[in-house]
Order: sequence, then structure tokens, then C-alpha cells
Amino acid sequence: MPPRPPRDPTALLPLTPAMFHVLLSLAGGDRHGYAIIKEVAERTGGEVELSTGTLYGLVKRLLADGLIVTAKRRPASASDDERRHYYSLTDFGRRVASAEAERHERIVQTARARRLLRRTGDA
Amino acid sequence: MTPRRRRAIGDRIYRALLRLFPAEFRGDFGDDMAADFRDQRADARARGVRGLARLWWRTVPRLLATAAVAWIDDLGRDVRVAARILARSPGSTAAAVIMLAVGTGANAVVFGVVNAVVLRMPFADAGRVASVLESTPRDPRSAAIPVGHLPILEASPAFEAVAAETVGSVTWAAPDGPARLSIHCSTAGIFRVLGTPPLLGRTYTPDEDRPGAAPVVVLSHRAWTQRFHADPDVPGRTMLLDGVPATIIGVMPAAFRGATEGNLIDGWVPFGPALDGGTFLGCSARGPVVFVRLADGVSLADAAAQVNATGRLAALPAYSGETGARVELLQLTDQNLGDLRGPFAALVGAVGCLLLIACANVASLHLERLASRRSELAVRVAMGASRGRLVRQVLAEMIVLWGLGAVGGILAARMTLTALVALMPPAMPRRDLIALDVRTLAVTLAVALVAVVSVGLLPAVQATRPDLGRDLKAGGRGAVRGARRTRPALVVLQIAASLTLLIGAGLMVRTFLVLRPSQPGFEATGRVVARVTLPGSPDEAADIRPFAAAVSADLERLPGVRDVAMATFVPMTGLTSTRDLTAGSVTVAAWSTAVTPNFFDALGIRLEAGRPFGPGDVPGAPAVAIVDEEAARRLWPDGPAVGRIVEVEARGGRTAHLVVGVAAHIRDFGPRIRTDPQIYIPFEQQPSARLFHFVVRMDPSAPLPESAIRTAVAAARPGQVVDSIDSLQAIVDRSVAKSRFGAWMFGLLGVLAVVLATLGLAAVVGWWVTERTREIGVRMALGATAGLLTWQVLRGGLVLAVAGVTIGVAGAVLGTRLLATWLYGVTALDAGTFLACAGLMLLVTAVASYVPARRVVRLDPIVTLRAE
Repeated sequence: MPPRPPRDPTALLPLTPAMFHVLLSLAGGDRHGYAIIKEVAERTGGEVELSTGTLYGLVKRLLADGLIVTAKRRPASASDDERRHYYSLTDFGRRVASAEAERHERIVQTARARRLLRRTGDA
Repeated sequence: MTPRRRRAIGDRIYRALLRLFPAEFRGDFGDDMAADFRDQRADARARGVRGLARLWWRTVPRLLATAAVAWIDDLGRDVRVAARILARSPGSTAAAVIMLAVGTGANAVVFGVVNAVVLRMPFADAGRVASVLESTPRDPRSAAIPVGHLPILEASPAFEAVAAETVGSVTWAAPDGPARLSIHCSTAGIFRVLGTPPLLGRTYTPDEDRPGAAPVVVLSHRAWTQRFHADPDVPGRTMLLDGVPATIIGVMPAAFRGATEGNLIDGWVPFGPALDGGTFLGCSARGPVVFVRLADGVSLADAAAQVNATGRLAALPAYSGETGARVELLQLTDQNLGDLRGPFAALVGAVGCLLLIACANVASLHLERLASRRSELAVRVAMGASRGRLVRQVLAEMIVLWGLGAVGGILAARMTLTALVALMPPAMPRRDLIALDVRTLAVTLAVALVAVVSVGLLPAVQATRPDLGRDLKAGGRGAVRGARRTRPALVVLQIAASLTLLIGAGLMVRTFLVLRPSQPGFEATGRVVARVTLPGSPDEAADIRPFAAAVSADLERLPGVRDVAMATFVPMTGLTSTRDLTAGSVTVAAWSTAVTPNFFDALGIRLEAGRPFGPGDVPGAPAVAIVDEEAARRLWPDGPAVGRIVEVEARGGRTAHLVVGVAAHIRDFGPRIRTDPQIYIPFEQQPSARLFHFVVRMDPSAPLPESAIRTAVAAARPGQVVDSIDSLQAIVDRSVAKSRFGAWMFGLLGVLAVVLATLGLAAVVGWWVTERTREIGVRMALGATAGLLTWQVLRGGLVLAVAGVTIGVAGAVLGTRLLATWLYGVTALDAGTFLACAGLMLLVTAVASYVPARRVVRLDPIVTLRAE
């Protein structure tokens, strides 16, 4: 039985970078594990490469914390192994991801104010 | 290999790695992970062999790390659930925790002691360090080796290093007044033999160990901390020892106590300057003890055989004066710990038993607790929980109990350890180093965990083998399957273990009662003993009478002092002088002391015949002596001793003494009771001793006149210090410290074991009564009398007790031999102790069964019939 998700999304912050990337990936739609790994690698230009071990350790935590759930229906486009699980972001997970993104934004704003970033739109 | 086959092998390897994860994790994610990895491999293959290698290289370590985290997560969850379950029944949880705390605490204390005293190796490569013994027909296994034998031993290739050593004491002119120091005079080889480097500075060289060299001293850690406040700048400073300035060159580490592992050594000085027959800093060259470090790869027996084969030692006179000595080597740690190892092993066994008894009780309690959760477990099985999962959950409960018990036990151990160390014999090696260090705690926790988990497996396995149909129907009542056999078996085990312990305790207590000098033959209360050593060699004649008279006169004037006597040796101090007594053809070795005439009065020693010494027994008058009953009986079995002549061994010959009196035998023992004959010689007729005791008889209410005695001694001889001042009662108490320690330790463990085992038995009998309430009700309704039913319950308990007692006696027969070296006046298989302990155990178990059995009588048949 997963524990009840905490009401306050900021209670889980800061997220680890890998965890944030998984949430970002699922914010774009339901995905199975390998799709998450690939999406993250592509989006970060290969900078973040999740291994299967790391990913499913995170998935277990995110499921337990109520940030994601196993999707009840497979996307219509799914053409792969029937037994694969798809994961989707919960409302609470979305709020946590937003809160983390805002946290990053504040950091970026500070960096910009201190002239650590040259051009706007870098973040 | 086809690509397909390669893929299959890759799959299989990855699946194998997945087996490292908890089954639940594997069930939830295993298939997805395998599928994902297959896809990853397909992509990586596009980048060639390097791409594949890189994928594996990145995947495997992360997989292992995730597996570890998954296990920790799982365990954490199990423990949290376990804690919640345990909190639901605080009573039995508290009982289990207390029992485990008792078991763990006792283990922590004993491991702490054993670790410091027995396991800590005091010397580098201690197996190669040995002491040398020489045997001649008249003097077997003499540790005293003539100085002339040293060059022969040093020349033997069997030894890497050889050292000679003797004990001495010197007066140090300390800044705050003179102090007496215990020192070892050792040849420079001692530090190579023992292989311990100094903590500060250096040890002395062979050049400093020669006559005429500038005196140097190496301090013990104790002297450095107590007398120099651990000042790191001590090396280089000078100490005035017996008027000789000696340079401090080094400080030894705390765990180093020299070859004999004495606790009270202040330092080491070179022995070389005394070896040519003189004395140096209080050490004389007469018969030192010799220690060797064996050459690499040479055994004790080989080394001794090599030395004996040369025949060079046999040609020289041995300590006894005879020739033909043969060498024997004894490993030094064996010699120092000789009589400690057996009893300490027994002590470890005893606390092991106690822990086992505690764990058995906890397991038994757990079975009872699980009985009430049977339907819950059955529901979980019905819902698909694997058996391994349930076993793990029950084990997690045991682990939580272990954790709480361990914390309680270690706290209890911390509190009792100080009291225990105070009980230990003062001569116990390294007793001041006893502590709950990391090693002790690690061993204690590990042993307790293994015990708890292995005992906990029993209820875990039994409780999770539920009979679904029956358990779901029963609604959670009734016993866990198998508990009907398991719990009685646990009780038998407990009774057996506690009886074994009780018998060990009984033997130790009896030894203590034998040794405890309730009637030592002298009065100890109100007597104060002060020991004085005058400087100079024990071989050097000197008249100490003026000094002794002056001190006595001063002391007699003190308030509360009734009488002051003097003696070279006082019983039970551990210091003795043994001399041969000869009458006709009979020779006996006797404890001898020279005493003032009032010694017998001052110590309350009864004279059985003849007269005490008188003012006429002075030098020039006929030499007289008083012998004890034992000497009288052995030397003159056929007639009165008074009026006979006894020849007393004296330096270089024998002197004839006229026996004027026969005294009652008094008990004297350090490590052992001596039943040796005793002889007293007038102090006036043998006044050249350097070491002697003042015995001050006080009013019972008067305080120990310590400073007054020191003042009187210093007044009679400026700079003279008193070695020690003690009440005679304290000396007597110390002489039985070892057996008192044994009696306390085993007695305490025995009592704890019996209490725990009794609680276990009472719980099991009580549980029987509860289990059979309905049956009992039926039988009562059918006319069975309360007496008959009570007896039947009681009989059940007694059957277990008899089985336990039988096994326990067998255990004791095997176990008590470990105690043999500490037993005195009672054998390891003493029938009386065995019978008494077995009887006591049966009685206690009978009472423990009777209390719950009595509940039967009070049962109302109507109520009991409704019980189900």
C-alpha cells in the first residue's frame, strides 16, 4: 500500500536530477521505461543516460510517493511488447514537477541577475 | 555464434543479475527491465562492439547499486511494520526486550572482560615468546635461572633474543616527597623479546646495560600518567632512584606491562650492572627469570631440545646447586593466563547459555503472540503473500526486538562494568583496560543478532505454515501449528542451560566458602599492616633493630593503638619465605617468619603448647623457634614438639633451634591455600631482614593511622618510605578476590538464568492451562476433582523439568571441567553440588508449574465450557 501523497508538493524538493528528468519525460505523455530512457537521452543530447537499474529504482520511489501511476490504458500508438507497463504523471506528480521547475527558474533568475548568464532564453 | 544466440545469452545474463533484487521488485519491474535492456542492446549494437561494451559497463554497477537500495528499502519497510505490530502488544514486547537486554548485557560485560584480559595479545607475535624453566631432580621446573646460564642461552641459534629479569623496588626522591616504585631490572634484550616499541622516546641499548654505564629508566604508562601527568617531555628528565640519578629515556604504551603482565609496574631499568653479583637500583643478580623470543620457525620443543642437546647447561650448577639441569620452555601468554583461560571460557559459555535462555523465552512469547495473529497471516497467504515474505516479516519483528534489547543491554553493561572490575582480583592482567570498545560491541551485537534470528526462525517458519482452512475458521484463536511441541522443547532447553550454569555457580560459591577465611587462625579485624623495605641488597647483613624499635615506640604512643608487633612475613600478603626444617630424617618445607614476642598476641594466634618468645630470646642466647601444629605433627608424629631441636635452613647451611612452643596453624594463601607447616623465629635472633611488616593492633573504632605510620617511619630514618599500609582485613579479602569474583559472576549469571527459565516454564504451563480450558471444564463437569486436575497440569511441568535437569547435568559434567583451575576444596564433578542444584531446579520448576496449575481449581465449569 503506497503511503498517502503529501499535500505540499514542495515537501519533496529538491528532486534529484534523474528524478526530475523522469517527471519531465512523463509530462510529455505516458511512456514505458525504455521510452523514458531514450527521451531523456535525446532531450539532454546524451548528457543524461539512465540505466535500467537506475530508472526502475526511481520508478519504484515515484510510484510509492504517488507522483506517477501505472497507466491503465496503453497509448493507441503502442506497437511493442504487450506486457510492458506504461507510466503516467499524477496530478500531484505534475505539481511536484512544476514546483521543481519553479525552483530551477528562481535559481536561473538569480544567476542572470548576477550576470552569470549572458543571453536570455538560455535556460 | 549467431546474433540470435548472442542476444539469448545477453538476456540470460541480465535475468541472472535481476535475481539479486528482492522478489517483489523483480515481480513488479523485472519483465520491463529485461525488455528495456533488450531494446537498449539493439540500439547499442548499431554503434558496434564498443557501444555494446559501454552499455554493459554502465548497466551492471548501477544494477547492483539499485538492488542494494531495493533491499534496504524493503528491510526498512519490514522494520516499520514490525515496530507497529510490536507496539500493539506493549506488555509482551517489554518482557521480550528486558530478557534480551539481560542476555545481551551479560554478553557485553563478559566479552569486554575476555577481550581485554585474554584476547588482547600483549606482545608482538606472542606465540614465539616463552619463559625458561630448568628442572633438576630436587627442584623441578624452577623459574629462577643462575646468571651464569645466560651466555649459553644467548649463544643458542634457537633464540632470536634472550632477556633476564628480576623485580625490585626503589625509592624515588620525587619533588613532592619520597615514593616507592616497583621496577623490573631487565637486560636490554627484554624489549626485543617482547617486541613492543616504546610510546615515547626509546628503550635502552646493550651498551647502557653494562656495569658503569650511566643509569637510565624506561617508564611504564601507569607511572608516566600517575606520577608525571602524562607529560610528553618526560624523556630526558632525571629521577633520583635510591640516591642514583637515572635518566628517563622512554615511556612504554598502556597495554604493555612487561613480561609478567603485572598491573603495578612503574618502570624498567638495566639489569646488566647487577649481573656481576652486585646490586643495582634494588635488584640483585640472584636467580633472575629468563624470557626468550624463539627464532622464526622454531617450536618450543625444538628450541628446548637444541639447548639440552649441547649439554652445556647441564654441566653448570642450577639454582638448586645441582648439576644436570634440563631446560623447558613455556609460552609466556600460557604462563600468564594459565589459570584464567578455562574459567573465562566457562564464563563465555555461561553468558552464551543465558542469551540462549533469553532467546528461547522470546521465541516462546513470539509463538504465543503469533497464535493470536494466525487468521491475519492466513488472510495474507490467501491474498498471495509468499511464505518467504511472511517469514521475513516475522524475522523483522525479531530484529526490532534485538535492536531494542541490544540498546538496553549495552546501557546495562555500561552501568555494571565498573562494579564488576572492582570485584576482580587486583592481579588480573589488564583489568584497567576493560571497556566496552568497538570490538566488544561488534561481537556482542553480532552474537545477539545471530541468536535472536536463529531462534526467531522457529516461530517464523511455524507461524507461516498455516493451515488455511482451519485458521480462517478458528478466527485467530488457538496455538500456532507445531507450537505444542516447540514450546515444551524450548523449556527443556532452558532448564538444561540454566542448570548447567547453576552447577557452575554452585561450584564457584562453594570454592569461595572454602577459601573465605572465616577461621583463618588469626584475628584480622582492627589490625593494620605496614610494609617497609630498607634500601640495599637482601643479601647484605644489617641490624635493623634500632630503626624498628624507634618506629614501634612512636606508633605505640598514637591514640587508639593497643600494640605494635613486627614480622618479616604476615599471612595472606602473598609474600612468603619457605625454608626446609629438618628433625632427624624428616625434612619439610615450611612457611617461615621472624616475629617479635608480642606477634602472637597482636594477631590473636593461639599457642597450643609451650611458651611465646620472651625478652630473653636475644642474639647470644640459645636459638629458639615456635612451630605450628602442622610442623609438630609432621616432624614429631610420636610425641610433643616442645623441647625438641629443629634444624632450620639458613643462608649457606642450617642452624639448630630449640622448639619452645607450638602455635595453632594459621591459613596463609595468595593464589592457593597453603597447608605448609609454619615456623616462627624470634626477630631479635634474625634481625637482618630488609623487608618486614609492622602489625599495629588498633581499637576497633580507631581510623587507619596511615599518615601517622608514614611520619613515624620517616622520623626514624629520613627518606624512608612505607611500601604499603593496609588493614589486615583488606589483605585477607584480596587473597580471596579470584574466587569471590568467580562466585559473584557465576552466581549472578546462575540466578538470572534460573529466573528466566522459570518465567519461561511458568508461561508455558500457563499457556497449557489456557489451551485446555475447555477440556478441563468438561472433565470437571464429569466429576474430576480439582486436586487430580492440578496434579495433571503440575505433572506436565515436572516432566519437562526432569528432562531439562537430565540434559543440564550432562552439560555440567562436560562444562565444569573448564572451571577446574579456579576450584578449591571441591571437585568439578562434586556430587553434593550437582544434587543440590538439580534439586533446587526441580523445586523451582515445581513451584513455577504449580502457580498456573492452581488456576485450574478456580475455573468454573460453566464458564470454561463457554470458552470456545
